[in-house]
Amino acid sequence: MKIKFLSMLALAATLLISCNNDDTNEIPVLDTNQGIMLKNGETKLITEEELKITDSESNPAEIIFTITKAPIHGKLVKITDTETSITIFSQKDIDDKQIQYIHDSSFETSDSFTFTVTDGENIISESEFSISIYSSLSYVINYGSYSGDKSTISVYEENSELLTNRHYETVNTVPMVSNVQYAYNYDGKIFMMGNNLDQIFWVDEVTFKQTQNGITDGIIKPRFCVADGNYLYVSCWGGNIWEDITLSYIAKVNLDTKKVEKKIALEGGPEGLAIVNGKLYAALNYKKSIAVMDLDTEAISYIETQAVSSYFIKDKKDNLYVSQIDSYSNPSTEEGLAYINTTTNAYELYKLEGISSSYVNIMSANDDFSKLYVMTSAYDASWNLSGAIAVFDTATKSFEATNLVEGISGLNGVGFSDDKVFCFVSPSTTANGKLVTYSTNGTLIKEYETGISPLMLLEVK
Amino acid sequence: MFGRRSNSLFLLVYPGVFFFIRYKMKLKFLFVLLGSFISLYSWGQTVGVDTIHLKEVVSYGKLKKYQSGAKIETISALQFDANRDGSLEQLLLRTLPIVLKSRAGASSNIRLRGTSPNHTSVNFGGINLNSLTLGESNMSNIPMYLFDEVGVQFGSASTVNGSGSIGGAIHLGLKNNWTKGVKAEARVAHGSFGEELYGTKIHIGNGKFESVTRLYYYKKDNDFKFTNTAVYDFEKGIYQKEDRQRNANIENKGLIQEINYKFSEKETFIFNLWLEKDWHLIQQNMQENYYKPDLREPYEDKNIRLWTSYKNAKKAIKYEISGGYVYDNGIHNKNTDGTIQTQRIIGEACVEHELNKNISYKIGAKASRIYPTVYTYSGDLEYEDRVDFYASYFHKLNRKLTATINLRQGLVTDFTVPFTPTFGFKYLVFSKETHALNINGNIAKSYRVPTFNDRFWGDQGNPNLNPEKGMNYELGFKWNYSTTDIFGHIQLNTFYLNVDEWILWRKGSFINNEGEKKDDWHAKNVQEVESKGFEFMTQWNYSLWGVKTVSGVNYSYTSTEPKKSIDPTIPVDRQLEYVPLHMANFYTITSFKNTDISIDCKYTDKQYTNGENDKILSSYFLLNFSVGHQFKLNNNNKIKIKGILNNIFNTDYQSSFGYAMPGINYRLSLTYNIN
Repeated sequence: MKIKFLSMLALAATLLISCNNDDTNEIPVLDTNQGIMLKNGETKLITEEELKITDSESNPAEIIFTITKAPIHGKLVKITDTETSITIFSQKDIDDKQIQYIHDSSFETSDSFTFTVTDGENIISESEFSISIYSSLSYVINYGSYSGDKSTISVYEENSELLTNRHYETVNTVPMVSNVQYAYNYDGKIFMMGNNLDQIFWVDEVTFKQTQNGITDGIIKPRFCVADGNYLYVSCWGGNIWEDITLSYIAKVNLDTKKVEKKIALEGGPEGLAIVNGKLYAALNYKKSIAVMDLDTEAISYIETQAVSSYFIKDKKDNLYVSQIDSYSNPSTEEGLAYINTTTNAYELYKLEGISSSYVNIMSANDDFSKLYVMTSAYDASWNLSGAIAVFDTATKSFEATNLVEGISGLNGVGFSDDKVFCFVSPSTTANGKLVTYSTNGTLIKEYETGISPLMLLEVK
Repeated sequence: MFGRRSNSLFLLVYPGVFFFIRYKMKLKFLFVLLGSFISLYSWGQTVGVDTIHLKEVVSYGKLKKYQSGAKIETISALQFDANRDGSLEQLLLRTLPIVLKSRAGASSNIRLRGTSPNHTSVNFGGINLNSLTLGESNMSNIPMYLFDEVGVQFGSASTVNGSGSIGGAIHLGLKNNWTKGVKAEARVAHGSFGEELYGTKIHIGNGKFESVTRLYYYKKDNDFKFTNTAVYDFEKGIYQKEDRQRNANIENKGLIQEINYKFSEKETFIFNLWLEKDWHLIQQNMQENYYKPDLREPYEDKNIRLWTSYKNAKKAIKYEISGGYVYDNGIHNKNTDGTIQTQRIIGEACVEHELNKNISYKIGAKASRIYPTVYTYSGDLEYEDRVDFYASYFHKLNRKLTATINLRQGLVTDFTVPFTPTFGFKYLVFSKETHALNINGNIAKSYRVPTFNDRFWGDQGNPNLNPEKGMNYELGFKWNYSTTDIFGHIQLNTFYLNVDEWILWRKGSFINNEGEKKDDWHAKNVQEVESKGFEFMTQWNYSLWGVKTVSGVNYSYTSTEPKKSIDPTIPVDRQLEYVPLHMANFYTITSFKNTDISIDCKYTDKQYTNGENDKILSSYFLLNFSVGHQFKLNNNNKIKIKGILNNIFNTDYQSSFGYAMPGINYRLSLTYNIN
């Protein structure tokens, strides 16, 4: 009897344990739901780093995702059949890199799908998987008119080759209040050097939304900027530099506090800036030299030049090309493109007659840095100011014999993107300008109307 | 009589001049004002009062006589008196359907019938006040306190006023009182935003000789609150709701000294000297005001204007000989090195012959030599001579029909000026016991010689510019009604004005005087503009139970569009910037015994402000109210207290795009009159 009782007890205990085991079948956990980010029109795999369910009691093949709301601007497919949208897949499919999202190339910046998950017994309630779509966008900075209309931004979308004007107003619902001299992409933000009103302000590089007020204290006639770590270095003229070249300075902006932490005096009207090996190179526009400032000690030394400078381009070896210009206040016949070896600070000039002295983006490099496109201007036989794009071969260190394009009246800047040369044309300071794209052999591709006085292209990828 | 008091007279006149020349501080001014006034008061007590006979120096009657069909409006005395503490800008805005582009009372310019500010001449005697460098007058710098009357001619008036009167002309009037004894006034006014006015007028004479001294001091801090709609707070997601105007202060002072002599009723001599020093901080736009609170941009004007005239009308052939001198100097941002100065010497002579009561004619010539001293002009430009020959013919053909013809030919050194004839008529359709109807019409050519800046400013001026040319057609009627208790009129004028060769400063490439290609701002003949529309004006005076009331309504419809332009950025066939299509104002002034109450309001339609359609000034409505009472201390001494409330609805509006204007504000004034 006693043995029988114990056997019964053992059986009950076993059953109970067995039963308890069934009851504690763990609910799958949505461990990772990071979403994906892909370029407009692209296809992207969804991996376990972006979407993962953990369930120690089920193998990945048993964890089933059911799509309850499909993406709108693209589709989910298996890589083995990219034509057919799927509505069910497993964690194993994800782990095996079998599931991908194909964007439909629409001009949307976000998409998503919602899903439920089951391990056969338990169901996780509906969740959303976000899909961010970015375009290879290029922003055209339209300067406006110093004493009139303020800047506007046009956005060029690479895939569709469409240009949309007044992008800033569209996104922010208010117009700009400054004339933007230069824009700079850094750490997810686009920093803009605003004149009249003098300020530095910034927008999100993707959404173009401005959420903070600009910096005005300590900023007088900002020209250009470059960032290093947590600091933005801004060249400022400090007033009427053409009357007093000692007014200018470098504003050191703390990007955390969004304040000008220090004004470092630098006479000579610094314009373009570049940072190499902990040194800030400043192109002086009213003095025939290039300033080199040690970012740690703020000690300044100078590289003597044969003409005043305006802008830099940094090559892939961190050496610098700098424009040498003939200006009204500092005339020189030794104009062209100079090369600065940043290890030795050696200076070599490649002459180019008529290199533009405009305060616009006068130089741009192609993607592999084999060519530099340099803006020049000269009066033609009919006394019309005619612009041209000269091509500098960085391998041979020489200008090509023929210009890429020439005879462009009102040429106001050059850029390179999407394997095209972008030329900006400004017929006057009160009328809308033009963006004209050319192939790298100089064939005109397309013309677009921009805002007033377009002057530079800012590519954001 | 004068001889015995010549010292006193000298002391009375002298302090004002002394003050003005030395430009001392306000306290000194007040001291001088008080001193003058006390000495005058005591003198007045002993001298007593004689009858004052009024006679105009600026004779609108004469202007009208030779310009039949032209529309010339004189601001009524009641309306003028209500606005004596302010500037010409405020007077015109409140009383006539005229638009002015203003910047918070510190600067303003007129746009008469859709024309530009340099298309309206502002005349003081035979002097056109418009700057020879800029071509226009700042209406905020013309203080009404110094004047007795203002007349406005709508439509081209070049045949009478010479260059620049394409859109019309304004005449600032002084009245010859031929005072016997002494008459004086002191005025103190205080208002919102630190506004202060101190002024005095002293008339001394013996019926033949007369000295009139008028001087004033005006200042305003102009620190009014406004809603800043140009600054967006991205962190709060709102526009800055509250802001205060900074650095828009005004400080003006001026003196007019008249010395007149009446040989007989038909032979007079007048001498007018007007000294003016006006200073203001240029108002910054709303963004600059917010972001650059310390930005101060001063501008100072110094003017000397002298006009003297001898008239002899004793015989059938009347003649008048006049002369003048004008000194204008503008200093921007304390930059005395950048001199912008002109001097003018003017001489004029005319003869009028009345053949009979129905026919008369007038011929004359006006010559001036101008010395510009402007830092950007070529040193070769020492002076410029201008001579105008004119002739006017008046013919009353019958009881009903009057016709006039005016001819003018100007000659300018190295510049060709067009011949400008004008023909006008006035026809009495009917005349009954209580009412009459007139029809009038006018065809006038007009012109404007480009300003010195247009022609000689560094590289950018162009001496080869063509003169602007205007052609004005006018047709109107006026119905007058008059009974014992009520009188008034209804007036409708239609106009068509074409202005060709309109000069603008544009940015772009051009060839300078040395034959070099430049890319900069420069002056050129750009467009042809057509302005057409009509003006409806009515005013009624009526009495009821001893209460006298004057009420009026004005409405203007002005369609002004560029019709041709060599600049593709100018929108052709669209309403011109800063010209509202519709404008209307209403006023009523009620007087009972020594108390008067007035209400006036004005509606201004929306206005384009640039070539694009993205910056449009909204329409706005302003309402003002005033009340005044005069206390008679005795037969010789009166005190008048007046209070005025402007912009009662505290309307948030702009007159110049992006620039704040004050909301509700007040002004209290106290005027003490002797005799």
